Amino acid sequence: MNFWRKLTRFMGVFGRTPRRRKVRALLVGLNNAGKSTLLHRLKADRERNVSRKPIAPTIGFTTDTFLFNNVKFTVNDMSGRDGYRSMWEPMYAQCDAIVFVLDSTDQLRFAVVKDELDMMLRHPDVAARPGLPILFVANKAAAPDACSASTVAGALALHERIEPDRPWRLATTDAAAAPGQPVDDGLREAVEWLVDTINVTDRR
Amino acid sequence: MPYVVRNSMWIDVDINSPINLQTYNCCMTLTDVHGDNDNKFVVVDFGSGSSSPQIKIFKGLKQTHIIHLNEKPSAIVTVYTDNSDQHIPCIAVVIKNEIYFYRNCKPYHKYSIHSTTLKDTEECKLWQETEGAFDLLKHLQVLSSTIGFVNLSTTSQQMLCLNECYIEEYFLKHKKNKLMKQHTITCVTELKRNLADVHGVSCLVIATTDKISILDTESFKILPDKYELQGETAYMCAIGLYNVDYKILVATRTGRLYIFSKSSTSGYKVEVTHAIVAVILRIDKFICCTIDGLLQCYTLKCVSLWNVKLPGDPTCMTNMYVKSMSLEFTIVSCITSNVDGLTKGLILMFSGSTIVHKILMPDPVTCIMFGKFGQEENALIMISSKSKVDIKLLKRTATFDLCARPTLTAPTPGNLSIPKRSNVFIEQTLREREHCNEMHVRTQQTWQTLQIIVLNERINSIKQKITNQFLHTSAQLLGLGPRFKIRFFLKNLSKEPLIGINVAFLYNAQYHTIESPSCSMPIIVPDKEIYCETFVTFCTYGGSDERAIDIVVSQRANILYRAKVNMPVYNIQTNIEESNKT
Repeated sequence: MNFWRKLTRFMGVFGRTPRRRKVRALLVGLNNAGKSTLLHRLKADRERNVSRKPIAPTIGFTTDTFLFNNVKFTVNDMSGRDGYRSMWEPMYAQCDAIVFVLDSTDQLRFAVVKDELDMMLRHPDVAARPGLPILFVANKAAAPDACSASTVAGALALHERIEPDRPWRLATTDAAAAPGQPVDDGLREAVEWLVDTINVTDRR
Repeated sequence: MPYVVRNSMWIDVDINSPINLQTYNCCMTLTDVHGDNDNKFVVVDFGSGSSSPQIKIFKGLKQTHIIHLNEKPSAIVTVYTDNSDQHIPCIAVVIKNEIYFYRNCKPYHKYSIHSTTLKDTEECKLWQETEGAFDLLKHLQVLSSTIGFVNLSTTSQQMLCLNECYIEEYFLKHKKNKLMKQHTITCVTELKRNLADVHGVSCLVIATTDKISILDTESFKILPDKYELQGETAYMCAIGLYNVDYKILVATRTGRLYIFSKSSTSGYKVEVTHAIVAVILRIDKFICCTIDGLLQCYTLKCVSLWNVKLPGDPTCMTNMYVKSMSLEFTIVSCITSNVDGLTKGLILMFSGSTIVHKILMPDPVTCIMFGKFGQEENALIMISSKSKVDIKLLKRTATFDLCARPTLTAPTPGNLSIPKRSNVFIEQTLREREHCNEMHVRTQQTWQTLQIIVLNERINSIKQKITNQFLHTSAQLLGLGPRFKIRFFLKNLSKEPLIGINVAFLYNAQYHTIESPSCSMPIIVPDKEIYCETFVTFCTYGGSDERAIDIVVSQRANILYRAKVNMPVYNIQTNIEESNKT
C-alpha cells in the first residue's frame, strides 16, 4: 500500500513537471538599447559567476542559450546598428517570439523605433503570423532621465499600431543592474508571460 | 497621430516641448562632450537680447547643462587637447580676443591674444599733435579712409564709433595713454594635428582681423605658421593634418577667398562679386555660396568647376557626409517666396551640381547642422527663423537618386579647362600643323569612300526582289511605240490605309527616257485600287536584259515592293516600215 502511494506520487511528479521545451526568441532593437546586456542579465540569473565586463557593440548577430523555468531559450541577439538592421528581416520567419528592446532614455530616437516597428509589423513573415508574441522591454529604467512605461507606450502609439489579436506586453527593466541585488522590475514576469503565451499559441 | 510617410527619406522627431534657440551656424556643434560615446548638441543661445548668452548642451531632446557667458561669442568649436583614454574634448569659446576652454562644462583654460602697442606711426603723431577732440576725429576719419578702419588702433576705432557727446571725455582719458591695437578673433576652426581620427588632438586655426595663426592646444602656444591676408575673415575651413599637409580656406567679408597650404605661404586667391554666405572645403575642391543665389565650385587652384543658380536666397550651407552610404552632399538652405509673398524654407541637397533631394519647410531655415546626434548617425538639425528647432533623422532605407539631371547652370566665367601642355601634346600639335594639307585630303577621301559604300549598299538592297502581302500590284504597258504608257496599279489589301507611298521607275538611260521617273501617291484606303502612269520613250534599238525597267514602291525610307517590267523588243526601223506598208 505504502509502496503504491510512493509510486503514484513519483509518477505524479513526472506528470506534473512539463517537458523541457525549446523557444527560439529574436532579440531586436536599436543600437545601444541594451540587447546584449539584457541577454547577459537573463543568463546571469542562472550562472552567477558571469564576468561583468562592459559589453561591446554586437556585430552581425550572436546566438546564445539560457534556461528559464525549464524552458530552453535560444536567442538570436541581433545587432542594432544602421547597417545591420536589414539582417533582422530573414530571422522573423524562424522565431517563436520577438523581444524588442528600447532605450527609454533616448527620446530622440523613439521616432526611429516607431519606424523600425512599422517595418517589422508590415513584414510578411510577421504580418502572416498574428499569434507571434512581441515583448517590448523598456530598458535603462533606472536612469534619471528615463521615460515611464506609459510614456513609452504613448510615444510609440503601441495600442494603435499593433494588431488587436497579436499578444504583446511592455516591461520595464534595468538590465545593467548588478546581479547580486534584488531586482524586482517585472522582467521575470514578462518572460514568464512570454513562455505562457507561446504555450497558448502552440496549442491553438 | 504624427505618422511617418512610408516613402519619405526622413523621420521627423516629435519634439513635445518645443526648443527655441537664437544662434548662428558657427555657434553650434555636435560633439561627445562627456566622452560617453553619445554625441551632444552644443549650441550658443543668444536669447532675446535681454539676458546674457548661454551655452546649452542637449542630450537628445533634454537640456542637461548651461554655461553662462559674459559676452557674445563669435564662434565655438570643440577640440581634443590630449591623447588620454577618456576622450573628453574641450569646448573652445571665442570671445573678443580670448579663447575660453571648457572641459566637462567647467572652465579649463583661457588663452588670450595680447594687444600690441603702436609706436611711431602716423596715427601716434595725430594723437600727440592734435589738441582738440573734434580735430582729431576729423583727422582720424581721413586716415581711416586712406589706410582702412581695420588698420587703426583699437583706441582710435572706439573713438570713431563713439557718440558725439562722449568724445571729449574719451579724448582726455586716452590722450596720454599709448595707442593699443587689440586683435579680435573673428573666426576659429579646428585642424587635426597628427591623426585624422575623431579623437585626435587638434590645433586651433585662429583668424584675427589681419592674419591667420595656429594654436597648439596641448601646450597653448602659437605655432610658427602664419598667413597674412587683406580684409576681415568671415568664414574659415581647414582640412588635412597639421604635421603632414593642410589647406585652410578663408573667406573675407568683402568676397575674397584665399587658400593657404602648409607648403606655400602665399596662397591662391579668388574674388567673387557678391558677399559670401558660406563655404565648404573638400579634399580637392571648395564650394562657395554667395548672397546672389549662386553656388560655385572651384578646384583648390581656384579654377571654376561649375556654377548652379539656386531657386531662392541662400541662408546657410553645410556639408553632409553619410558614412553608411559613403556619400557626400552639400546642404543649402534657401528662402523662397510663393505667390502670396509668404516666405518658406527650402533645403536642397546637392551631389556635385545635381540636386538629389529637397525638403520643404514652413519657415525659412537659418541654421543647419548635420552629423551624429546621440546614437543616431545621420541627424539633420534645423533652426528656423522663428528660432524653432526641427530635427530629422535619415531613414535606414533611404536612397538618393544620384543620376545626373539638368540643373539651372549659370554660364561659367572664362576659365576653360585647357589640357595640360605636355611634351606629347606639343609634338602632336606641331606635326598636325606641318601636315595640314595631307590630313585634309585624307579625311575627305575617307569620307567620300564611306559615302560610296553606303550608296552601294542601298542600291544592293533595292535590287533584291521584294514583295509585300498587303500590296497587290499590276502594270500595264499601253501603246505601240516608240512611246509607251506605263500604268501601274496599286491595291491595298491590309486593313489600314497606306500613307506616303512613292513609286519610282528605275531605268537605263541608254535605252529609254521616262518623263516623270517618280510619282508620289495619295493616301491608299483599304480595298481600293489606284494607279499612276508615266510615258516611256525608246531611244535605241537592240534587245538585251538591261532593257527592263525596275518599279520600286517605297513608303518613306522603307521599300515595300520591287518588281521588274520587261519592255518589248522594239525596232524603230521595222515598225516605221510596217506602218508605212499599212
